Amino acid sequence: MNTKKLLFQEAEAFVSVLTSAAVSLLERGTSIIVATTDSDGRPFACRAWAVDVVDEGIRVLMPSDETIAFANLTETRRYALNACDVRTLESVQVKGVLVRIEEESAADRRRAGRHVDEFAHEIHDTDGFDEGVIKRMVHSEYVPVVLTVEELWDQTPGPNAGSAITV
Amino acid sequence: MSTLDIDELAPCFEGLIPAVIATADNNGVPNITYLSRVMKVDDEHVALSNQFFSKTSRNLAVNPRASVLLLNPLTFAEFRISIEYERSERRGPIFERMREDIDAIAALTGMSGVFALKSAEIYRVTEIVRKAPSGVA
Repeated sequence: MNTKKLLFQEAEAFVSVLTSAAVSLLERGTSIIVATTDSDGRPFACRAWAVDVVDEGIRVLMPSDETIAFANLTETRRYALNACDVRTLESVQVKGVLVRIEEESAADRRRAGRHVDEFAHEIHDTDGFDEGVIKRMVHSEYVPVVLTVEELWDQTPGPNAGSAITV
Repeated sequence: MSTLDIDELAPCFEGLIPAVIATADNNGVPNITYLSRVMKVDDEHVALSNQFFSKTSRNLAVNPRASVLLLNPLTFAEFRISIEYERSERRGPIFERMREDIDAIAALTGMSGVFALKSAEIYRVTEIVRKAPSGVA
């Protein structure tokens, strides 16, 4: 099997999956959770910081110490990612597979910093928590992962929670 | 990271910050859902609020293992617990206590009529890990 060709085909498929509203939600300072599974089907959840929509799908900055998540992604490739607006609880979930793991750059650290600032500000404005305390959750090193997007789901609390979103 | 006792999660059970549960289907496809409420049942079990759990419930029927993220609302320390689904309760003291809490959270967040407790899901806790803070503030 030509893996590169397969991944390219998967990447082409994603373009029609994401709505403009989903792109907006994914790329702003939301609460981002990534779930992966090992070869036994054991799920593993972790937090991530900053999502950008790219040609192949999405590029996500994950904390460098989440070694189980990276091992799972390398082994099974499958992931789910939830982005939730802390002010409105508007949420989407995307699913797909790993394309590649990249090296962190200075631009990535700046991008993560912007996301964290926005995220902490939103929480402070919504619930009154101290921004400095919120930023204790933040990591100092990140690993960018590029992922395809094959499915888009509405996760906003309410009657449509859990339903597929189609363009 | 370190392994901890369930009582160290007490502040996370106040319901001030939603928790997150990850499950997986029998093909290993993961799924993520937010939770309004996580409660201690005893030294080995927690109860999770089931409000909009259709996909999560389907996953747990074929794969009872789940991963939950919790935040301490005072320190924002993050915990990850590994759990295994045991049963659902739709009546009784745990369910009633959780329903009262969910109603209160719904009223506070303007979600009355949206948040409705279907059941209290009982899980056995197999591991508790505290994520080390980065020191970045």
